[in-house]
Amino acid sequence: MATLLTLTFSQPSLRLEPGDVLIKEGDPGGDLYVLESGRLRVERDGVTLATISSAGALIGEMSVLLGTENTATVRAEKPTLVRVVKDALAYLERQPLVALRVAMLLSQRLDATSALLVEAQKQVARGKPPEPNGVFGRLMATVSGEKS
Amino acid sequence: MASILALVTGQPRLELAAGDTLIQAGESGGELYVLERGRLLVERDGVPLATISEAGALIGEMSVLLGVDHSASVRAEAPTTLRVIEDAIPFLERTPLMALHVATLACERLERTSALLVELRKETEGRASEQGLLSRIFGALTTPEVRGRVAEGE
Repeated sequence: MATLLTLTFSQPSLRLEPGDVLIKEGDPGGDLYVLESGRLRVERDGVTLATISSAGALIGEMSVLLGTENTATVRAEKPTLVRVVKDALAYLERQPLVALRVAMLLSQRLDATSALLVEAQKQVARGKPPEPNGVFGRLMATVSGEKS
Repeated sequence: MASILALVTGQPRLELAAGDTLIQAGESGGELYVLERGRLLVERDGVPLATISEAGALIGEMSVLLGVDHSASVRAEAPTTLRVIEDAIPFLERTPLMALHVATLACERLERTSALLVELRKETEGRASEQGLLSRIFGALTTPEVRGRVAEGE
């Protein structure tokens, strides 16, 4: 299957210098970015969540798909190039292969998170199932698709 | 989610009785199911994870999208009716609204998981073992590449 960078080749690129903010927590979202090169740091509520440096990584998809403000701040840690998809929801409705690719990337994250949560729960509870209303119970129900 | 059920009205129905297994962990995937009515229990490694009872909920999408075996078992807790989409990838490729819906659902789950993890991180502040574990989970939530490190037992 074609990568996001291949699928979005006709979209414009944006260049960031170290320290430049790509996305700011609380700002309206709606645009999607695909990392071409460089390194980005993701922060939420002042907590560093991740560093993104893989070409083809997706940024901004949460606000696009959920129709919410940006829930995290993303800034460049070194010179960075991103592909920009403006008005991304309309773009995704026209481009099922991109929508499918986005769904696949998100599923990989859910799967990796779910596996780690199961592992963490086993470490903490030594084989006992999680309390449904405890934090692990709520986390695993959520990651597995239960509506809160 | 009536719109999702409307997108799959052409697909065959599957009826399950209480106790029937829909998906067995370790089996190959490839089919997508949409819940019409009933209740399903999701388990992974013997740990009950979730109960799914909302009409329009998707089941099996992880193995479809990842191209992997099922990582969880799913069985009916009550009489349950589903729509079955065989060859789910071609179906998604020609049904953009469904592909977008699948992406949106995954995103909602990630968003709620992320919020719960931020809450947990604040609760466990200063406890080194929990913080290390949480850092790995946050990494997995944001970038799938962390899986390689987990596999190496880091």
